Amino acid sequence: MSVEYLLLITLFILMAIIGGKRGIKAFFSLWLIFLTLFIMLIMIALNSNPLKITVLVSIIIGIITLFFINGFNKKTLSAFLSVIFVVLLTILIVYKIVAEAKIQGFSNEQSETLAYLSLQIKLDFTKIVVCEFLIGLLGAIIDISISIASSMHEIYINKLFTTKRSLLFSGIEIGKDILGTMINTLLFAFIAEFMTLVIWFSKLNYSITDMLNNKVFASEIFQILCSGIGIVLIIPVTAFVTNCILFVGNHGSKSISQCKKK
Amino acid sequence: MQKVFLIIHRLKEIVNKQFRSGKLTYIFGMLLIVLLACLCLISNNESCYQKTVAKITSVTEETIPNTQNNRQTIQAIIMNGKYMGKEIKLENTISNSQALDSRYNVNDELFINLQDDKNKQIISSEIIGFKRDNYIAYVALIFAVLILLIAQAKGLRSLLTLIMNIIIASIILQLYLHGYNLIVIASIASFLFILTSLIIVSGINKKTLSAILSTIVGTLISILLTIIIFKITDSNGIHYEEMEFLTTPPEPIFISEILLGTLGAIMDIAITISSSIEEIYKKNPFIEKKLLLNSAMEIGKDIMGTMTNTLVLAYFSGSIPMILLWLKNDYPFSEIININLSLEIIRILTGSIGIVISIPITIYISSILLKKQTIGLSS
Repeated sequence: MSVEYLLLITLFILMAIIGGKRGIKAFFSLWLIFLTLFIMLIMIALNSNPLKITVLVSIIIGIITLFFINGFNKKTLSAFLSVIFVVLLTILIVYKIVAEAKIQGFSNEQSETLAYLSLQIKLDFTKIVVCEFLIGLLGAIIDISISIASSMHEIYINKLFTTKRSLLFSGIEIGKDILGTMINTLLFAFIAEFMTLVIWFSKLNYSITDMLNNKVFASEIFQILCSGIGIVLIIPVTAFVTNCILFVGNHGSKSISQCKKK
Repeated sequence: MQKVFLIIHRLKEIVNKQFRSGKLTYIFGMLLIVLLACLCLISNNESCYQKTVAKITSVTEETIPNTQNNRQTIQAIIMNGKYMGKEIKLENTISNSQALDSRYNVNDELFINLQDDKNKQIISSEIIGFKRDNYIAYVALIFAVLILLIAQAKGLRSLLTLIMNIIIASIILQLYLHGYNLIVIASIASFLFILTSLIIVSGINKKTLSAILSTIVGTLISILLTIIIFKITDSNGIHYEEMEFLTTPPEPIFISEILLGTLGAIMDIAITISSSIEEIYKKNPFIEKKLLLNSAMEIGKDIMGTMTNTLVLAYFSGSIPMILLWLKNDYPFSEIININLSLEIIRILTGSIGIVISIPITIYISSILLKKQTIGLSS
């Protein structure tokens, strides 16, 4: 039996024991996400625009993780809308960065790995890097946004707030609490991924400045920084959107117009 | 030098006058000045480089006949070294995908290789790289400003942990390169990572203590489980092709990578659960222990799904460009997955196992620690 299968079975058993029905649901949503990602790759390979596909995939994964696991309600709706908004915003920022710093594609050190592959292909690697960064941070922003939205919902239904404005600020406070650990989670995931690269570069006797200017290394640093930017942006956006949506049903058109004014 | 001090002093005074409201804003003002100073330094750092740096002044582009490639003819000025100020001509070929090359624009800075003769005349010059350090500085600055603006003091703490962790990571790397056993130093480093991250983010208190203990126990169990599974299956099915360029055996490196990757996720789970347990307990100190554990378990189930998804997406993203390249070169799907995703899938699965295991562990440890306080009253 291979390592992957045994790990997979272990994970399934643990999720079923500890998470019960929802654990099994989470296990299958993992598979759905994998499937979505593979379809995404095939679509891009068939020459669809990577940026459009990224937005589409973010919407689909948002639907899977928010509506499929947690059901359709005000909490998940506001988290969903905030995630889509931040994805669009981050795409703009990341595209600008990638195009300016020219971190698309592969670096010369990887040419050995690329020896049997043709690079004369119709793929816009600048857009693919944007897709890579966005997919990498998507999970984190969905996680933060649902946490903020559901905590604000708790505060709202238990009437633990004084004004609409104060609810907005407690949303941001909750976000600040999660911020640090979330950035760490991503940082460690990315460090774990690019440790191989750093070890290899150090063995090639690269200096720090060599590394900072190297395409692959710089691209990893940009991924960490861009993820950080996305994580920071999702906090006020979710707090604001949730604040608007929570008050929509109860105060009718009045609060909507207030929302728009802000 | 004195001038710079004077300017900083003036700015300090201005900041002082403007933000008398709190110490914090003062610190932020100082930080901002430091960051801006760094930026000024970095955007004019050509003289720090041994390599020759040249700045592009003009570019013309044409298609090379009978190919899909374009050729750029570039005029540039040398920015450092003994030929500083001299103009040179460079050539650059761009492919359709720009996977290994790039299109350069005016004002971009390049590293170049110069060949000169005895009379100190430049014979030839070629591009060896693109200068990216200033862009890293800009984006780092944007990130720092955003995080301080939105999360203020807590943002500052997150930034500090980030910096501390990067320092620790570079220290373990140096130790490894000096011949220490990687798994041993990675374990020691993990311990340091846990301590600094959790203490800086949530302070020294009971909540942090239980988070720290739970992270250590959770990471230990999940990494042991991973090693046992590796041993049982005799590492059958792991494809180390992604790491084949390393001359050392890849397994210890991979296991330390798994350790670090799992650690971040477990810390997140541990602090979330232990702080919600404390929160529930604070709101209702006379809550029955069973009820407390049940609601903690509910929270655990809530975050389990989203956390595993976060890991899947973060790990998968790294292989996207390579997989696309293989797909475009018409390799069969199974081979692509085996070679490019084998390590990522194992990282995802071990990380997820760590997440799931650490939920009951954290609940158990937090409830024991709380019980020592007063929870014994009601159970």
